[in-house]
Amino acid sequence: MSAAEEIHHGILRTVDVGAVPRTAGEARSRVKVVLARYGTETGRTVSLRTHADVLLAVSELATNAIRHGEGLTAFDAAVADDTLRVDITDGTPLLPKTATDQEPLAGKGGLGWPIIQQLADRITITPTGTGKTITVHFPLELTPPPATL
Amino acid sequence: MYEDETVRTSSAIRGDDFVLRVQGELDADSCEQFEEALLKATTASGARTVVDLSQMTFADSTVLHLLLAARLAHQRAERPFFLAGPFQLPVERLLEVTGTLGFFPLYVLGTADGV
Repeated sequence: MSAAEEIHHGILRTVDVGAVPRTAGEARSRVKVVLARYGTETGRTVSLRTHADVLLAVSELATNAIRHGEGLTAFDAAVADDTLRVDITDGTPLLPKTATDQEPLAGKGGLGWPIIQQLADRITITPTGTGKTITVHFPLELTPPPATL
Repeated sequence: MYEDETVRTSSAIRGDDFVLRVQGELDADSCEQFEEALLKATTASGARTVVDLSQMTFADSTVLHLLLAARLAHQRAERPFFLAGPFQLPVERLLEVTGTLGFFPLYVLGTADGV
């Protein structure tokens, strides 16, 4: 796969879209590239709010996989039908902890997964041999909206 | 091949405010210095701790957990704890989506004089 260029604060950076992200920041960068490419190809850009929401959720997903999921082993992000689909594979079949498992407002953890649930409109979890793939669909607010005849 | 946007944590006394300022994109990989600064803030000088998030361009729940823990530690230390904005959209969305926007008292800092 080829590298894609991401313009960030006027500094051109190269993002390797073939490699598995090693950090939450790399996962966010990959999604920024996917959304930017979509904008270039279709002339439709995501709203600032959607952009913020999606990157937040992706950061949570990647952090969960890396820190609680025995590692992030596969990652894919693509736009179709005004939806961003993210597939993230990690190394444990255990399900993410939810806020009800702990005291989230004491700052001990547990807010990540509820954020993902709040922002996604569909989540599926598929077991793999040693772990699981979490597939998340995020609705995108796009401008201009789809043309109506 | 990925570069993190520079994360900087700094602190200063402004009047009787102990202002802790954080800049950049914060997540689990880049929040260590901020975490340390928050832990130390309960015993800092000044009458209150004000965390200036106006230059934080991204934060996820890792950061929110730190802020919640700091809020609790400050309550136990009987030291006032505030956040200062204005929050950039990603930060505002983090607080909105988690329902914690109204959870932290907000403080309005005066215009920056070279912190």
